[in-house]
Amino acid sequence: MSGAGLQPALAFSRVSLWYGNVLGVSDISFSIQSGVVGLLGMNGAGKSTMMKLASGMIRPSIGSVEVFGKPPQESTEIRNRIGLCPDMDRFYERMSAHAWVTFMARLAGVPSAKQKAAEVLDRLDMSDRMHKKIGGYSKGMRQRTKLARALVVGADLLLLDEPLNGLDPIGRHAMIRLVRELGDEGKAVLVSSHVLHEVEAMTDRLLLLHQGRILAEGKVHEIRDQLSERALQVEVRVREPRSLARQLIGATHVAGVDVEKDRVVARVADAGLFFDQITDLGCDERYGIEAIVPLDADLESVFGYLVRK
Amino acid sequence: MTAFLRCYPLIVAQTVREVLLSRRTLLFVALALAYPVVAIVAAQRLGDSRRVDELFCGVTFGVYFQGLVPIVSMFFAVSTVREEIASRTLVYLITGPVPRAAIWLGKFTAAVLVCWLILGSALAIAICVLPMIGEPGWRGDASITRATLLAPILPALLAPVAYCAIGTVFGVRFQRAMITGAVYVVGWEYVVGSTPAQAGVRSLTVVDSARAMFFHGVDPEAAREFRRTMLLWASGGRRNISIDLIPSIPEAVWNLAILAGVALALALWFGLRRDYDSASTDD
Repeated sequence: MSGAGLQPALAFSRVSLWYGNVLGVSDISFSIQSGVVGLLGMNGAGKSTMMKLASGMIRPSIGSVEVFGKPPQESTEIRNRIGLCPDMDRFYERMSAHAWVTFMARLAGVPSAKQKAAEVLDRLDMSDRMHKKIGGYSKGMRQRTKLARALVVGADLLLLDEPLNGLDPIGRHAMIRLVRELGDEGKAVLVSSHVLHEVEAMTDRLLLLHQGRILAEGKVHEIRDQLSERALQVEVRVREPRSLARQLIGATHVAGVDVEKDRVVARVADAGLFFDQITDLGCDERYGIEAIVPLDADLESVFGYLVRK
Repeated sequence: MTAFLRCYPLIVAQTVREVLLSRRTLLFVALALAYPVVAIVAAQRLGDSRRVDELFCGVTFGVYFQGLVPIVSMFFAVSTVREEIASRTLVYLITGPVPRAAIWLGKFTAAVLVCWLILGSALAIAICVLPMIGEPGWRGDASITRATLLAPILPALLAPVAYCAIGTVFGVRFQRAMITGAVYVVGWEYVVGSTPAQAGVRSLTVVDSARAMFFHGVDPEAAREFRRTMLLWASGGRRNISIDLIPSIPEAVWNLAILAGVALALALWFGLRRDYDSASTDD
């Protein structure tokens, strides 16, 4: 198990990387011992670059990346402890998932590779199609095949770059459950996504990345606390907007209210109290509440707020 | 070393399998089959007991060693390396516990094996069918000598190794490796390989060593004209024709070993140091 060792599974120390004149990531420092850590950022934030650096695919321009105490490029033993599930969607298309995962397992020196590959694919609900050619797979099956490759080697550090991309709701649920299980097993898992609630479903430990820099890190509630000073805008679609607005205006957790024809937009200081109140009011048919939509709770707004802050 | 020994044969086998299942390989098989067809038709239509060796030498030199061997070898060496990079499947290898030397040497070996299979099959057909032309009942007057018939085997074994080594460097180093390979075959092998031997640069080409081995292997009497032409060509048409202008078989083997060795060393030099990004694009 990775987490038990003295060395962190993954450690970035003042890492910067330039692609020519373009900055990839800047002055990144963090470490992971074990468990699931979410790497959250918008497209282009540098998530995939971080994954490439962590896997040893590319080297930093400045700083150091160490996996279990060593740069990943330097040792095949260290790379044997890394399971990368990259964002790109390329395979040997003529091979079946079982043949490909077996091939990868044999390269890693896994004993009984064929049997191990079948077990891992079965764990990922691929047993019925694992002997078909990868070229005919859906996006979701291709994602699971990539993950199988990461799992079959028994890696202690798993780097999952956007693993939920292309999965249907059932597949997403299964993948989220699997990632949590891997974390519970003591593996160190770095999982990237640009969707906040996806990451939240997998872990409560986050690294927020923006324009190549770490904007915030820690537990989800800690980051939320940083955001609590900001008023959240919530749209309430309602049949009787004026009646609802009268109820909201007096509350201490509501900083202001805008009333329109069939909706109320509230600036909320304490989201918890507000949603408790609106749930109670929703039960009262006099107001006719139809929908509640947070207007700026999306990741872009969060980042915008953190950047300004 | 253990990781290398574990990964190298797996990569060779996987690459050979991928190449053999590719449709483009069929195209090159068809192209390679042109050689025995031309050799057999020429012997059947034009050959007689005096000329069949000369015809075989001319076709083997012109079609096989000057055309097929460099083109097929360069194509497969470059494509096996470059397709792994361009398709980004290389990412799974370089981020796994696979030594890079095993990747590049595995690709090189696979290219050599495929070339031997395709080029060797073409040569084998010619070697098997041509003696039949001299049999009574087919064309009894066109028998080929055994020495001439077997002369292409050694260069056909060694030349693809050198070409594939050079193609591997191009594949590892250059993004537009196929174009670089084509420029090398036409601009270096053909042009420099045709300079007079006195200039001393021919030995830097693979084709010079291949044709030297072939030259020394053929029957001196039955292929007298071919050998005279080769000597004349080697001397640049001058009067001081000497057999010393053509490298001996050991010299030719040594030349090819040096070319292949240097090329593979360069391939490893570049391949071990370069970062291969999963987002990189390719020709």
